[in-house]
Amino acid sequence: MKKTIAFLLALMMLFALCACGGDSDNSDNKKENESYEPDYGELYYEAEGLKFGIMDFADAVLDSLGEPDGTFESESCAYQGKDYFYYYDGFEVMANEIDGNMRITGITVADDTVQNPQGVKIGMDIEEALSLMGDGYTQSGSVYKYIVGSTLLMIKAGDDNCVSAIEYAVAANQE
Amino acid sequence: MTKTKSKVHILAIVCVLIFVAAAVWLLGKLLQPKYMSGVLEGAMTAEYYEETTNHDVIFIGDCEVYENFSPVTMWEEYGITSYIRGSAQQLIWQSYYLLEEAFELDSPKVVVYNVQAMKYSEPQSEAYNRMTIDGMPLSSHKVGAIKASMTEDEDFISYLIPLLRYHDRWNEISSEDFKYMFSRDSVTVSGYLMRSDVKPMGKLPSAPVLEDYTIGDTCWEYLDKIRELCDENGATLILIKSPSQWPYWYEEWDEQICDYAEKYGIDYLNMLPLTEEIGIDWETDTYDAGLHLNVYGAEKLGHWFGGILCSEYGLEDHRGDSELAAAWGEKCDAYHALYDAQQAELEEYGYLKSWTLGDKA
Repeated sequence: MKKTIAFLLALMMLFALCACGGDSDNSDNKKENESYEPDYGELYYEAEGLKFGIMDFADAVLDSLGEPDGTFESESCAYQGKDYFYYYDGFEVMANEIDGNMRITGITVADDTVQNPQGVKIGMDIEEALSLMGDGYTQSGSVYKYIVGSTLLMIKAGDDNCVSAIEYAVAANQE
Repeated sequence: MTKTKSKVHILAIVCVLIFVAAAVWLLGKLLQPKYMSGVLEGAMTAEYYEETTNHDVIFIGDCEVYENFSPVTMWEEYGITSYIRGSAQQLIWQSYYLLEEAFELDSPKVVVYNVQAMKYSEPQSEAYNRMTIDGMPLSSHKVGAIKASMTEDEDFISYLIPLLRYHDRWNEISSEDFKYMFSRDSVTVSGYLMRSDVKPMGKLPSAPVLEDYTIGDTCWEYLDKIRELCDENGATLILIKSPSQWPYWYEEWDEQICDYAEKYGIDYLNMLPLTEEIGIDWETDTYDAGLHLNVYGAEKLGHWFGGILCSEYGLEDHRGDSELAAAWGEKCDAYHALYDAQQAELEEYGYLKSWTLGDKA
C-alpha cells in the first residue's frame, strides 16, 4: 500500500519536473561573449572610420558612431524584447539583446548619400553593384544575397533595375 | 478479510489520484502567469467568455485591432455591438480557431480580419502562443489552435496541464498570483486595450529587405478557412489593414491581398493611405510613435469605420434595445472610468503605471 502511494507521488513529481530540461547555461554564454570574433569577413559596414558588422557588440559600435540623429524601438519579431533602431546620416543600425548583450543585428543603407565599403550605392545599376560585390551571390526574385558567417547582405533591385535597398542582416533570422 | 483489504487498497489509490489531480490543478492555477500587470495581453482571450450579449461585429487579429478600434465609440455613435477577439501577435490559424469558437458562442453578422499577421506563415514564439491560447477553455478549438501553433520546442500536454509549463515560476510567485488565482480583473473593454498616453510619430526605419515577398501557403489556407467559416455562418468577411505605420506593410503583400479579395468578392480596406480621411494625427493619436493608436486615434478610427459598417453593411442600431443598452451602458461606464484613471495616472506620474482600473473597478 505504502509502496503504491509512494510510487504515485514519485510519478507526480516526475510529471511536474519533466519540462525542466533545456535551460540555458549563462556561464557558457559569458564565455562565448568573451571569446567573440567577428565572422562577417568582408561583409562589414564602414562609417566615421569605424568598421563594424552583424553580431558586433552594439554598445561599443554606438559609442564610436556618436549621437544618432534619431531612434525608434518596437517589439521584436525575431528576438525576445525589442528592436532598437538608431538613425545616422545615410544609414540605420538595428540592435537587439541577445544572451544578455546588445548586438548589432541590422545595418541598412537609407539613401544614396552613402555607399558600402565595396562602393555599392542606392540608385546604382544592379549589374554594376553585382560586379563591385563579386560572384558568390544567390538570387531570389529581385533580391541578391551574399552570406558570410552569420551575415546576410541583401541588395534589392527596383523595377528600373537599379539598387533600391541595401541591408545587412543576421543570416539565420531572415523570414 | 482479503476482499475488504483490497477495497481499502483501491479506495486509497483513488483518494491519492484525486489528491494528485487536485494538487496539479491548484498548483497550475497558482503558477500560471496572471497578466494583471505589465504584459496585460495574456489576459485578453479569457475575457470574451464573460460576455453576456451577442455582437454584430467580431474583429480578429493582432495588436493592430485590439489597440486601434474603440468598440465603445462604435456603440455610442452608431449602436453597433462589437467585440475584438485580438491577442498579441495573433497568427492566422489562431484567428481561425478563435473565430470558429466565436461562431459557437456568438452570432456575428460581420467578421473583420486584419491581414498584418499574414506575414507569418510559421509558428513564431511560445510566449505569444501562450498569451493567445492559455485563456481558451478546453475544446476542439483550443486543441486545434495548440496543434497549429506549437513551435518545435513545445509540448502539447503542457498546454492542457499548465503546471508542466509553469512549475519553474515557483520562485517568481507574488501576491498577484494568489489574488488572481481564480478570477481576474478585466483589462479590456469589449476586447479593446486602452492607452491614453501620447508619443508622437517621428521618423520610421527603412523597410527591411525580405528574401521573399510571397505570402505563405499556410496563410492562404487559413484565410480560405476563415472565408468558408464566415460563408457557412452567413457572416460577411471584411479584410482590413489597420493604419499602424510599423511593422512595414509591403506593396507586394498588399497586391496579393487585393488579388485574393477580388477573386472571392471580399471587401479589402487598406487604411494606410486613408489616415488623413480618417482624421488620424500622428502627433497626437499614437502612444508609441506610430505602431499603435492611442485612445484618441482608436476613437477616430471607430467613428470612421462604424460609419462604413452602418452605411455599407447595413448594421442595425441597437441603442433602443434595453438589454443591449444595459450591457453596453456598463461597458461605456468602465471605458470612461478607465480613461479617467489613466489620465489621473498620467497627471500623477507622467506615465501610465497600471493601464487598468485594478482595485478601482
